Amino acid sequence: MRRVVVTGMGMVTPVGRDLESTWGALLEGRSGVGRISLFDAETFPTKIAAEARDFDLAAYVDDADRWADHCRNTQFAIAAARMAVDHSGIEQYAGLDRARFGVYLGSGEGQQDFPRFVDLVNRTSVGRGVGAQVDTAAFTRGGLETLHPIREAEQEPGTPAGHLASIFGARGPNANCLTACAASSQAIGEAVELIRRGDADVMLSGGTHSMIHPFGVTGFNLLTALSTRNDEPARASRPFDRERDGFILGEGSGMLILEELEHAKARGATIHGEVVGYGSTADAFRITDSHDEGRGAIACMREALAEAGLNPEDVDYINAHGTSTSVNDSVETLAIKKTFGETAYRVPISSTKSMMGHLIAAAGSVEAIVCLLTIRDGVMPPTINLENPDPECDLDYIPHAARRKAVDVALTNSFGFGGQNIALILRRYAG
Amino acid sequence: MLRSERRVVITGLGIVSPIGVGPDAYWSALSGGRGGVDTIRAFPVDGLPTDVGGEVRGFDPKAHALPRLLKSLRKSLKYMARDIQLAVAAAMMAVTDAGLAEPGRVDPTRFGVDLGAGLISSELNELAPAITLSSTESGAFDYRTWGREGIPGIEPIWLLKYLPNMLACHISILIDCQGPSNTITQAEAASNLAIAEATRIIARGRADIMIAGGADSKIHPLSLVRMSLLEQMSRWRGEPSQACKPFDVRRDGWVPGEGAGILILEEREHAIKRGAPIYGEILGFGSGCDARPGGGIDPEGVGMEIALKAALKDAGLTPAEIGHVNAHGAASPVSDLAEARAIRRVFGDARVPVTALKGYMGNLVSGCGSVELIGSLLGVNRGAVPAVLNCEQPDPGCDLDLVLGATRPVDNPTFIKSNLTRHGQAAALVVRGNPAAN
Repeated sequence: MRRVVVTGMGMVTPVGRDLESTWGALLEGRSGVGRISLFDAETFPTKIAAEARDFDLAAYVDDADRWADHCRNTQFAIAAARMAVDHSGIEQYAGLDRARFGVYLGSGEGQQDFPRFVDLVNRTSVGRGVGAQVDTAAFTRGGLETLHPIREAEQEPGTPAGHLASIFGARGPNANCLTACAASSQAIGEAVELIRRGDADVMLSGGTHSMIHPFGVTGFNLLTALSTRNDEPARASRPFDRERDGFILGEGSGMLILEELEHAKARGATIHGEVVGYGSTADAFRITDSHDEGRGAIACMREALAEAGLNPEDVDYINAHGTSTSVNDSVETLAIKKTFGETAYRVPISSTKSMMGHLIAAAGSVEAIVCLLTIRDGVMPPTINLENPDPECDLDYIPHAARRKAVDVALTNSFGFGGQNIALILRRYAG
Repeated sequence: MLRSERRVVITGLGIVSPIGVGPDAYWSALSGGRGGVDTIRAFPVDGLPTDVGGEVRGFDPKAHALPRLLKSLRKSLKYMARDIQLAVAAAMMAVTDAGLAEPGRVDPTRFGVDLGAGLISSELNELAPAITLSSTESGAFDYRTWGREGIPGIEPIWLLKYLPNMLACHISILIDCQGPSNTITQAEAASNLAIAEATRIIARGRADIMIAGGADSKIHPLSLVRMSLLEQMSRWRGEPSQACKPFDVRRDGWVPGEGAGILILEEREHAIKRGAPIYGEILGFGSGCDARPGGGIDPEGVGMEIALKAALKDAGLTPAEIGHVNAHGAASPVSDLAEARAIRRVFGDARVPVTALKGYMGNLVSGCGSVELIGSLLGVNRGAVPAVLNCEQPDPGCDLDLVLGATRPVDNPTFIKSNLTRHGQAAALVVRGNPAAN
């Protein structure tokens, strides 16, 4: 079978502008959570988030002006992809067949153009407050005059994959999947399968997302999914802690260059690890909650292990989905115990969402990169804020501080709203 | 397909379209040359380049429910945007068609879902109370009021109604599909990519049955505005059913539509063992992209060419072995020409018959690939390729062997379905029908 390795990585996160600064912050246990600055959230139930605060596309590319009207989604993706491509050196490879160089992202939808949209709805509504209704003819007439074409185009979730293909001349398979919080892990898994099958040699894969906007926070607040620990932002994301009260929205992008092993060797690329296992299942349970006994989560971890030909005791580190919601963290713990048996108590686990928040569609790709860096440096990032472990969460979550350990095999989980479960296994490349 | 892979056949069809619900009604309209594009009646529109679209009128999602699921469906409907309802109805129809209506016929962990879906716009009236409450008459929006009084006035489940993955999620919950679940959001290429991915999943042994295809509804005031800002829309003022004219010299742009097309894909031995109907087989697939740095597609159609060649290669077929091409044919001046050039370069001297079905129903975007594929599949199984509707003056620049006027008899049941997005993302499937299924 064709093997797939990672030859490039790039990321923009709430705790760092690139790979190494993000990694440094995670190892220091630094939180990226603060008061929301992107809009006035002072009266929202949740007023805090993990923003990529100093992000400026001009620091990454020369033609940032061209993307000025585009969404944060696209801007994060361009920055992270530029770093991943540079890291891989693939553009310098004269033998690259561009029809076999593709893009498979798990990008979220671009944010709605909130100011223009609410203004349009307000101007075209009949009545005010309860019972107000939009006059659709006035709305369509007004929308053509006031909505911004690029801002509207950017909301389509397949858009970043098109932009990246144009920038890097990737003319091969091009796709985007959107399975909520599982999206970019699933994109990596399916991109790996495309390469294994022989449909492509190189894939740019990962995700990008920002839901730190009024509708995003509104939607998650309505579902009571977000933490409201507004007075202690840095302590708000506390996976596996008894006092956890919801997740913290993060934003950013993680991008990887996935490459067929012989292709990577032929061009003398540096290999950062191998993707050896991919599990994908559905809970088929409820749209709002994960299965209460972790049925789908267990099945996806088992499948990833089976595909990798590994046993539970071969896994050195787990990067948990660990959202800091009441249900996720206890069900994920249960699922790890069911999958790993006695080994569950010996394998170190951490949730980097305790520091970066939840990057939703982009979360999985960033966390897969964290696993690769763990393998590279032999150090595992901590779960911060785990002060009073939930009695139901009694595994080793690497509380408070990073820990040194040689890691050859790492597993990362991503579970999406609606019940999609993805597990990826990354392994040190040893020939 | 690779020789080492398991073969994947089509054992169920479900369709909800502007020209008919169910395969028989759909084929009757296609073969009879009856279009479904008309003045939009769902709500008043004004100022748009066109006020016509392909609507699914009188749609009742409960009409196709499996009897044992009717109660759960009724409870869930309030959480389902129209796109989701269209998909769920088509999926239930396909599951019934495949003989899988009774539970326990398949192992749920080997049963998955892979769909194409698009950005779903919120119902405006779900937001109008909160937005007007938070705005002054003069138009200033007050975030503080929104936070205090606006948010509590919105349905708690609001966000989940509009997530594109919810088409697949509701289907997986109702029908108990615990295998892989994915949602591809690549506009017009989405459902072809989803069918290709579902095929790969079965081929490599990860599942035995997949519900695959796509659904979309662009019949929404915001979606129509968005399309009008981004696309060249038809400005046709004549008979509404003639608005969308693929490959015609008079073609002047898109017409929006809505609908769902769902296939049950199944590992061949699994299907044979349980005596399922076999409508056809997925022989290969390919994908390419020619997005240009300045935006828009390559007028030469290089991405489509890559996709078509890859699909043929994967199927192990030469162009001469293809019976017809079911093209994207959006009726856009640029993309029809780009597509025609790609087809000509790939097929060369093998003049292949070409059809395109958007003239009947407009552009179903994320659903167009699977809905159009079903049109060709029904056709080859009945011995005829449906004609391009509204193409009365074929564009000589396109120079294709278009199926015009009436259906054309065929004896080769193998065809290619291809679709193309505004970013030049192209996806093609090679399918062989099974005329014995009729």
